[in-house]
This record gives sequence, C-alpha cells and structure tokens, in this order.
Amino acid sequence: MRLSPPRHLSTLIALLALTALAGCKKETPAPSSATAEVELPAKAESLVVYSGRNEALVGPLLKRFEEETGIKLELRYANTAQLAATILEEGANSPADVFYAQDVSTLGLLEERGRLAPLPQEVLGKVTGTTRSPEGKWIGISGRARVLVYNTDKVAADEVPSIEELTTPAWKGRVAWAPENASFQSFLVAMIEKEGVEKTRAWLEAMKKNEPRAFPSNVPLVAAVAKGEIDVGLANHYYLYRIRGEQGEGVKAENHYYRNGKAESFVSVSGAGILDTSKKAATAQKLIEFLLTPESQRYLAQANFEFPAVEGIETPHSLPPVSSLQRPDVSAGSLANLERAVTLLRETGILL
Amino acid sequence: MSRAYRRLREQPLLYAGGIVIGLACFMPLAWLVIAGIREADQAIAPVLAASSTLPIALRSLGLAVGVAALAVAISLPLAWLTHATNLPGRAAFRWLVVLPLAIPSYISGFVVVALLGPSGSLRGLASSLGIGLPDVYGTFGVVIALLFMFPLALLPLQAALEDLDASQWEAARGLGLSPWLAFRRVIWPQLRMPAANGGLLVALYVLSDFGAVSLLRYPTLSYVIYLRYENPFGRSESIGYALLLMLLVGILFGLHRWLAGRSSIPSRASTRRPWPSIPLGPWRWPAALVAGSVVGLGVLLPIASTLGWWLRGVAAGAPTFPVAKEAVWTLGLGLAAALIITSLAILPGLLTRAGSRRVSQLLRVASHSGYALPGIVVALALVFFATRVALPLYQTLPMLLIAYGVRFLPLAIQNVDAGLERQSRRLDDAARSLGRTQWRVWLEVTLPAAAPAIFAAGLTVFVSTIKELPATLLLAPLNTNTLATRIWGWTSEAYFTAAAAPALILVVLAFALLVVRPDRRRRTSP
Repeated sequence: MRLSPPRHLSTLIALLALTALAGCKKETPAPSSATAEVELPAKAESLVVYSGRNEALVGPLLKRFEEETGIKLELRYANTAQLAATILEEGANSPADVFYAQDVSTLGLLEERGRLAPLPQEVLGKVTGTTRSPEGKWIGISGRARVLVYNTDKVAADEVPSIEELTTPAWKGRVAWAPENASFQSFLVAMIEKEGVEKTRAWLEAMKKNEPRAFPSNVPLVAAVAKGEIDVGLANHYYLYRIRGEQGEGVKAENHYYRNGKAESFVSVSGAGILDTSKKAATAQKLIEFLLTPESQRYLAQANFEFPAVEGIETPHSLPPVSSLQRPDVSAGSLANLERAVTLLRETGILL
Repeated sequence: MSRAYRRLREQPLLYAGGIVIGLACFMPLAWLVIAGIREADQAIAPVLAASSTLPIALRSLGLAVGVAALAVAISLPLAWLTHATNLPGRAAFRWLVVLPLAIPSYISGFVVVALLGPSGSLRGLASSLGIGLPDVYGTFGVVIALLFMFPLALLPLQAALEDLDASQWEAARGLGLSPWLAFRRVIWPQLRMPAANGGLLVALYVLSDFGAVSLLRYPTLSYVIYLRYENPFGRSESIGYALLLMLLVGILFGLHRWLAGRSSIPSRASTRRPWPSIPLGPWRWPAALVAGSVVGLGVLLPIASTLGWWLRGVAAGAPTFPVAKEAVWTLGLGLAAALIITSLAILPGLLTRAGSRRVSQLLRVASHSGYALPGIVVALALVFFATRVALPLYQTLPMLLIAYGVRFLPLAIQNVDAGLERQSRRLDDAARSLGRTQWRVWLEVTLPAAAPAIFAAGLTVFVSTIKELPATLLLAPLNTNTLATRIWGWTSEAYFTAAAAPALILVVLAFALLVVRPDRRRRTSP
C-alpha cells in the first residue's frame, strides 16, 4: 500500500518550530518578567501606551512614572501616523489605553473618528489656548519651534532670509525643506490660517520654482545643512542640538527663530489622549497628569530642548524663552486646514 | 477530481499544511481587497484618475527590473569566481560577498548619502580622478543604495553551483570547448533558474522598499503608499496603490517565468567530484580587485562609516546605551523565523514533487504578495485580522513569527525550490521502488541533497528578519525591542552614536551565521 504516514517530516517541522520557540523563550526573558523584578504591589496596575514619540526622547520620563506610581507601562514605540492607522485597524479591540503622539494633528484625526475619550477639565486646564483640543479630547505636552537652520559658513547671522525672500532668485537651489514631514505641514496649516489658501499656494509655487531640495525628514535635512551641502533649511529647532551633541560644538549651523507672530514662528505640538476603548481611563489620566507636572516639563526642556506646554517652566539657557517666540495664535490640531495644506502640496506637485 | 482526492489521502498533512500556509499568505491580499471594496470610491477611483499614477507605476517597475538585472549581473561572475577559479582568497570571498545583505536600507541610505552626497568622500575621490558622478538624489543614488540587496541573487547562484557536478564541466572542456562556451552550454542552463529566482527576489524587494527611495528622492509606488499613511487624508488611496503594486508583482512573475525558462532536468550524479580551480591566468588579480571592491563598498565602507559616527560621537560625549537584551531578542527571533519559515518553504517544493503543481503554484503566488508589498501594508493587514479573529495572539511572539512568515516565506521558497528542482526525481522513484516510503525518500535523500539551497534559504530569512522594521514595530510583544527597532529609533532622532553599536552587532550576527554555513568542498563526497 502507498499509504505513507507523513509523520517524519511533520514531526520534524513541529519539533523545529517548538525548539525555536522554546529556545527563544529561554534565551530571552519575556519583558514582563524583566520588569517584574522591581517590587510592585501585588495587584499592580498597568497601562498600554502607544508612543509615536521616540523612546530616546520620552523613555526615561516614562520609566520615572513607573517608579513613582508603581503603575506598569506596556509600551509600543513606532511612527505616530502608523500607530494611528494601527489604532483605527484595531477598532474596538485596541489594547491601547494612551496614545502619545509626536504631532497633535494625528490626535485630531483620532478625535474626529471618535476614538478618543474626553479629558477632565482639571487636566485640560494645565495648558492654555491652542495647546489643547477645542473638543477637549487631547492635550499638548511639549513643543518644537519652526526655524530656518542655516550654515554659518554660507550665511551670516544678519543675512538670514525671510520666508518670502526664500522664493527670490538669490536663493535658488539653496533651500532645504521636508514637505512630507508633519511639522512642515503644520507650518502650512498656520500659513493658511494667517494668510489664506491663495497666498499659501502662491508661496508654495514660488518656492517650487526655486528648486528647493526635499528631504524625507528633519534629521538628514539638518545634517546636510550642518555639512554645508545646502545653505539653509526649514526645520524644527531641536535637531541641531542633537547634531551638536553628536558632532561637537564645532557644528557650523545655527537656528534662526523668526519671532514674528506669523506661520514661520509656529510651534508644533506633541500631545496625548486616552483611547475611547480604554477601560483604565482613571489610570491613564494619571499618566497624562504626570507628563504635565513641572518636573516632567522641565525634563523635556532640559534633556530634549523642547518647549514646555505648561507655562512658567524655566528652560535651559541655550533655548530661547517660550514667551520670546511670538508664536501665531493657531490651533495645532486643525484637521480641516491640514487637509487643505496636504491638498495644496499635492496640487502644486510638491508632494506626490 | 478522484486523482486529487487520492493524492490528498496519500499526503493529507502536506496538503493541509499547504492550504493553511496559503491562507495565511493570502491575508495581506485579502485585506487589500476587503478595504478596496469597502472604500472603492476613495481607494481606487482617485488612483486611477491621477495622471501621476502611470509614470510612478512604470518607474517602480523599471527600477525593480533594472536593479534586479544589475544584481544578477554582479552576482553571476562573483558566484563563478568564488566557486570555480583560483581567485586569491576564494573561500573568504565566498561568504564576504554575501554580507552587504546585512546592511539595513535605513543604514545604507545614510551611508550612500555620506559617501556620494555633495560633500561625500567618494565623490571627492572620483572628481579628483576626473570622474563626475551623477547627483546622489535620484536614479544613481537609489540604485546604489538598493544594490546592497544584490546577495539575494547571489545566494541561490552559490547554492546551485555548490550542487553542480564538476564532471560536466570537465567533459565539456575535454571535448575542446573554450571556457566561455563550456560555461554557456553546460553551466549556464543550470544556473538560469536560480538566477531568475534571485532576480525576482531582488525585484520584489525593490518594489517594497521605502527607506532608500524616500531618502534618495525616487518616487515609487511604495513611497507613495508610505506618504499616504503619513497623514489622515490619503489612507484609502494607499489601498488603491497597493492593489496596483500587486499588478506589478504579476508582471514580474510573468517575466520571471519567461526568463527562468524550462528548467533542464538535472543530471546530478550521486557522487560529487570536487571542483577543479580554473586558473585565471593574468586575470587573477584584476578579478580579486573586483571581488575586493564589492566587499569594500558593500561591507567595509558602511562598517567604517558606522564606526566613524561612533568614534566622533563618543569624542563629543554623545550617549550610548547597552543593547545586549536587544541582541538576544534579535538573534532568537532571527533563528526561530529562519527555522520555521525554511521548514514551511519545503512544502511547495514537495507538493510539486508529489505531483500537485497547481496547489504548489497557487501557494507560491500567494506567498509573494506578502514580500512585495510595503511592510506597513502587511503589518496593518495582520493587525486587522489578528484583532478580529485571533485576539489572544495579537502582539504575542507567535503572531510576530506569523508576520515574518507572511513577509519572508517567498525568500525561502525561491531558494528551496531551486535546490529541490535540481534533485532528479528518478532518485525518488528508484528509492521508492526499493521499498522506501515517499517521506523517507524525501527525508533521507532529497532534502539532504538540497542542503546548500535550504541553508541559503535559512540565511536569507534570518538576515531579512533581523533587519525587519514595520511588522516588528507594530506587532512585536509590548515592551520589546530588537536591534533593528533600536537603530530605527535612534537614527530617526539623530542619535547616531547610540545607533552605531546595534548596527555593528546586526552585521556581526549575519556574519556569524555565514561562518557556520555548510561547505561541501570541505567534506569528502558522500
């Protein structure tokens, strides 16, 4: 008979798979057991946090929260927009309690889709004005200012061009920007709110004619300016501090803050919200409150050179005072204008 | 019908396994179709209406085919030189030339910019020699950055050569054929299929890549898909673009079939003679220079650049962090994925041998969608299905391994297939006529004979897994970090010093696996 029991191969495969899994388990203690060594109360509370903010920026702060409160955090770090897409795919089964986003426009999207729970007034009251959602479902934690970063060998401090001058022939091929970047798009949102759609479109078209060099994000952009591969770039302020930390104080680049109350003085905001599907809203609120304490705000300013969202927090000397920035009075999470900005970028052919 | 039923009764496990794997591999495609139907007017219509769609699709296809052709063109001479000639340092080169595969595209992109960018050292060197290199931002840079993946084409060729019998070559030469003619008539027909398989893998990889095309400004479909995920308004459109990408995969498959040709029935002898080393004569050192420059550009320069970042950063007082735990996770995940996925990849080949070409063909095509789609699409498809039908598995280790399976099964299948295809089926029949069961023949004869190909499959999966990002970021158990997620995290915030150590460890891990690779020549013939 040709009835051959195919046991051998299947057993082999099963064995291989099992040893692989077992081996993996053995070699690598599950993260829960690693953190469980810390003495925690018998029924430790825990929270699942999706963080679009980088672990290098907020990891130490979140660890401090665990130590101070005994609440265990289960973290997923990834790109903010992709995490938002993940939350939408997960639907009602999302395990996430808190979403900590690099840019609050993403929180605005989740809010619009009904995926965020309202925050209590006592939390919202910790910040003012445009740093929180008008609907009260997300709150800003810290900010990154828009700047023109310039190479000090190529451009003198008193010759830094205005946003309008960047479109003149003198600056042809000398400007870097990152049109795909959320902060750049937020800057356009501010321009649309302050100047209107048509003026913004005209500026974009004039810029495009001037052949700016596009970068996918701020890091390679600022690095290119620091190397002198390009003269100036529209970026967020804090990457230069990072590059100085990496390459020493001799880096030949500086930030120019426009401080004129217009779009180019905009401050992008990172923020957090509680998921509508979370069953631990009270615990989640503790985390958000923790991020807004003066100590946490000071940490973000000192370790990352970010601007605190809470007013009255002292900042390091190398950072200009928040009050001096003269930021435009524009809501950071305005989805409608973000859509207009993205549409403009696509209509002008700047973004695919 | 009755034949299929009889076969099913003969090999129930094989078929059941094939069907389960096929279903798993269909998940990304199924999700795309579900989402495409759900949001047809937002997902499909704008993509079809946009005037940029066709140029982008053609550019993606062109880049995929071009880079694949270049990769095969580099791999073929390298494979031959390191296998059959008296190239100096041949044994070392044989595995050194595979190493560029271990450089993740999010590193190679930065390295290419650093070396070939406007103030890059290689550009300076070239211009001092009077060579003006094209702008790094554009076709030139993106092709160079993507060519780091050329060993995907090299590995199947190496495995095939390893499996070839030298007596054919000797006979051809003995009959007075020139080396070139002997290669073309005797060797090339047996390398055609592995070359086409490897080329297909490179092409599919290029379709899926995001890191290199975004940094070096080359708009492809995957790039547009990622862009659409970057803000809330284009998400539906990304579905349309992903479906279009699947169309390109179909075209590449057609091309692959045509190029692979009808594989010649192998004439492998049961005993293998050791390969002679063909004297290269005056070409010996120029050939070494070529092989050496591939290693230099693809391995040494990236490692040197990474070390440079590290030294500069340490001098400037930038922080570094220990990554031992991440290294262990990475190694464990890589080995587990390699073992499981390679084992599963044997099924389609065996199904073909069991006489069911159609089932195995279906399985092959299904599995390739997961590899060619951008990682974010596959990851989100798995998020969708896992949270709906397998919630307890969501964000667990098995789920992550399933994700790797969906993404990398084709890598293993292409390699294993080429290996199994070369094993004569007469051997199966002979052994069975001696009273062995089908499975014993496979286990004792066929699979051991295909060992080089199976190892190449495992190696490719291992290296791809340890570099993988989108699925690892979204589907790994919470609080888990791998070397790749660390490198991503640190480089994306300009902490290059911190990223240097995990990047170097990643290369060392790939290196370590290459060293344990079985080498037929060291053993006596079976």
